[in-house]
Amino acid sequence: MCNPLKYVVVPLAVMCLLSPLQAQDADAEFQLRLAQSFEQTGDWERAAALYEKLYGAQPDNELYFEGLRRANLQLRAYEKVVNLVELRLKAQPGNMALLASLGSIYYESGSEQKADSIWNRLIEIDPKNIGLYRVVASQMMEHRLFEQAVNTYRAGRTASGSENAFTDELAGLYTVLQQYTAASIEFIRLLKAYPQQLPFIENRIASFTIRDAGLRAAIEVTRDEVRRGPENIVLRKLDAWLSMEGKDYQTALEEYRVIDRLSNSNGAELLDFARRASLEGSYFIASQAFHDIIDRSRNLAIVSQARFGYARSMEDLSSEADSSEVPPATHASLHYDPSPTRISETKKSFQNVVQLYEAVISDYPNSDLAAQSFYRIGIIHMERFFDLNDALESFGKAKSATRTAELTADASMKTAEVYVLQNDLTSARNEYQSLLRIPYPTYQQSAQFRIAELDYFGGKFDSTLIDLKPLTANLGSDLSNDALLLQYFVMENKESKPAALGEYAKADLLMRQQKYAESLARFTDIVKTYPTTLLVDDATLRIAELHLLLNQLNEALATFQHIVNDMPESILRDRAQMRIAETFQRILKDKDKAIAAYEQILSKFPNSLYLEQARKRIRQLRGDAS
Amino acid sequence: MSNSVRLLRSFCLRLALLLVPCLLFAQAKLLIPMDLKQSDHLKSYGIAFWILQHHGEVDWMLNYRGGSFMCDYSDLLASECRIRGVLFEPVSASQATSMYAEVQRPDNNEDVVRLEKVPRIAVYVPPNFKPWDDAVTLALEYAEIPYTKIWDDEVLSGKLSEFDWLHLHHEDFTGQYGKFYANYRNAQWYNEQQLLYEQEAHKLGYKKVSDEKKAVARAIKDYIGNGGFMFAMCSATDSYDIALSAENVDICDVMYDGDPPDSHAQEKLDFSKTLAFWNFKLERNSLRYEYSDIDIPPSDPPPIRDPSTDYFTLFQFSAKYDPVPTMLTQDHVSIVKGFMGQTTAFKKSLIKPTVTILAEREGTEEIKYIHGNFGRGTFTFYGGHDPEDYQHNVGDPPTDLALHKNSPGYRLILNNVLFPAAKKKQQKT
Repeated sequence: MCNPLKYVVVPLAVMCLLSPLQAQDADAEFQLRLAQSFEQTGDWERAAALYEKLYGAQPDNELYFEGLRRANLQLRAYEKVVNLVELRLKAQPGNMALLASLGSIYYESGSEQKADSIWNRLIEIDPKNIGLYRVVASQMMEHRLFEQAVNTYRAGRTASGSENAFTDELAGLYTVLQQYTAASIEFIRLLKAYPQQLPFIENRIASFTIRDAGLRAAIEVTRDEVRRGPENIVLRKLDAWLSMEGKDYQTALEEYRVIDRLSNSNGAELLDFARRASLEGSYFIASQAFHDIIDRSRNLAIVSQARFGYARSMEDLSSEADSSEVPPATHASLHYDPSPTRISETKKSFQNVVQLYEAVISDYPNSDLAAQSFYRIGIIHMERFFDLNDALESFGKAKSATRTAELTADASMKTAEVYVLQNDLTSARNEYQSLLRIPYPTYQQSAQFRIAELDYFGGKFDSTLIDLKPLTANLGSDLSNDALLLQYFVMENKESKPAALGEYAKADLLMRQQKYAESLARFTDIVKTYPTTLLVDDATLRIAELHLLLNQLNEALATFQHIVNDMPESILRDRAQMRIAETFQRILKDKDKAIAAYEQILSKFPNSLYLEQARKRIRQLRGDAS
Repeated sequence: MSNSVRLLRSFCLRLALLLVPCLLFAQAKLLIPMDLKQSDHLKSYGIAFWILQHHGEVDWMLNYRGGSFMCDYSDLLASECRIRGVLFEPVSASQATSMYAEVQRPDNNEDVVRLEKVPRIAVYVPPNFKPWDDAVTLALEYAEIPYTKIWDDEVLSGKLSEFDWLHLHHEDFTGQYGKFYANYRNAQWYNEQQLLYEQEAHKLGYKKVSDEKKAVARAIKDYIGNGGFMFAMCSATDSYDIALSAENVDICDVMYDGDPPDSHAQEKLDFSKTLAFWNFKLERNSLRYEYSDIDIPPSDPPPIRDPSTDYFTLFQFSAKYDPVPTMLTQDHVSIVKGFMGQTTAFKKSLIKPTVTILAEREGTEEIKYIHGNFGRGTFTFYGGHDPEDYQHNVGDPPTDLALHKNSPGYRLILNNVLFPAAKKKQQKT
């Protein structure tokens, strides 16, 4: 018969036997936590004592061993740590990481030779095992023994027989050591092994190409490699990238020519490059790249893009040449910039550009490129040749040909501007009104402002103010400042002398239409007829600006001076003085007179908005700009 | 010769002798007011410096309209003020006389200090230093005050004696590379900096960067002892004193100098060697972005504080009896916007009693600005990194001082720059 008590007694007996063991575990855990908290507070001596006790009770426990090793290291009890690790190594002879750490302990204790011999011994265990080199080198790097780590990796590379072993590690080490040539060699090794890693490698190299020495080294090494392997596309891409980093677009272009040929990309690679060069303002190189594509590619889609790109870069080049001759920006108007449209010496080059665009239109009719070409031709006719009818025709064609709303809107804006220049204000208004209906706020606001201007030119000043209201209320708009200026000007003058304001607006329109002589005559009349109106100083300033536009420099200077000297109540005196200084600086190139004129702004107009600009320019002219 | 002729001649001579000094004194003056009217306070210091460079003299009118500058009028000077955007007021000889009289009245807490010497300025910076990472160089560049950059080589070879004023860049004299290890140990700039420092230390014959930096700290202390003016900001303040106190003890952990710190480092610190602080406790956690308990509030974790309520107050000193602290605290406001740094302010209880407190965060233990003497020289410590960038972080863009022309916080820096130009006066106490 079975005794039922045994089901109770046996488990109780087992529990009684186990309880001391459990208590022991709990005590050890408590001591471990205590040791760790001593460690955290930096009380290494008490931590070491506790770890020692725990380790003595359980020498196999990894946690206790590590804790004891750590604490003794902190206490610089190097002998103890060495004994501890050596004892452990006897139990775990294959623990290479532990052996490597023994080298570190010797190094920390100041026994550098012993450290070296331990690390060498470790490698000698299995010289073919490249993992051992990595273990040793990482210990060396922890102690910032970068040169030794380099030597270890290099030895590992030789032992492994693979010239690509440790490329990444060595590249990083050489970068830290600022040995840019060696770093570049390793990066190129890496690139050759993993060509798809080009963007990653460019990113790594970029950390030192920001320095001249780094960039020079990288270029030198890369070009050497390119010479050795001229067919390697990825190396050439790296060279082109480095060249562009150094703003050497010509070399980059040479590389892309070869890349394009080697990769049979039929112009695609060159097209990407040309676009980047164009975006970065290297128009000449961009034009060469586009031209190459046109000459060599048989891919029609790419060639069409290149032909438009070529025309655009030639236009940019012509504009660049033209802008170097443009006189200073003339902010004669309160609310617009009447910078002149001039038939310049570069007309011929613009004519060539027009021909290039026309060829695009003829070869790719009904395409978006054709539409864009029409638009660009319109711009050239309007801004460079002042051929307003041709401009109008081109913008019209651009609108018909395009399928994009933005280009349609741009062409409409320009069409309206041409109408204004042609004095067809009704058509201009219709064009602007059509723009009010498109769902793009930027175009809507521009059109709204231009409609307000049309009302102003036409003497409808109440309408002008109504038109301007939404713009002046929306301070986030780019045009709100212009709108506020026009609003203020109209409000100030419409009550006091509406007739004078009407005349003024008409003269302003003539100025906008670039009928400078007529405009000058009208403004002169205004000053004579209404000598006491509020706008007489504005009219006088316009007269001075018109003299400048007509290249009558003496008259311009005298008129500006007249404002400064004889119109004490005018708020435009500082602006007039600024224009005198600018005329001396930029047109007459008379440095001393320009400085003197700028100094007048500082002394006569201490609250002027132009103070900072005047100071800056004096310093530039003196050569001590800070 | 008749008696009457002799008498007339004698009368004329006496009259001439009487008039000459009056004529000399009749020189018109130019006042650069430094109160709220001034358009560009920072460039005003540059103008004062410019006058000294051009062999002129400047009178610093302490506590008069925010610590104004008075000097002889010239068209050239007026034009230079205009070009630099510094407001000035032409003052007639008689107006100037009454201004001087007012300032020197015994019952007025104002005085005049004559600036007559161009201070030779050195800034202690590593070669890879960027001027925008340091408020003092930013201020000097903006005010157009020339300075020379020096580093360990120059300091240890005795070149400091060629300078009147030394500014310590945001530097870590403890050799722990700013304690940026936890966050930036893998950053290229951190590794380059560490390598650069190691190479410099080895070149100068030191095995450890920390040992070399301690030697630099001692050389700077000798420079002050011999009459130099030292100005430090941010972590250059506490790390400097910590380095001095740790002359004979290793406080750096293994990642900084290759071996662990002395476990009894705290007890071995020698506070008799420091300039400003004592009884401080080292921060032993090598991964914590803090050197000791001097810094308040501690930088790690970054303190959360409302910039709009963070201000410190400048102390008032007697201009006639304490001209030095008065010079250092000249400002157009007495309550200045606070700003943080790796070392934001100094714990009051850890400042030696011999040190003069110039500014504090009222009602707290936070001391922002201190000054003291050592040997024949002086030192000034100013907590925080950039007076116009509340919490400047690594990689942040530089502060454009053109947008802070009237910065009271930056003025305190420039007070220190002009201070060595002052003619030494007999102390009234």
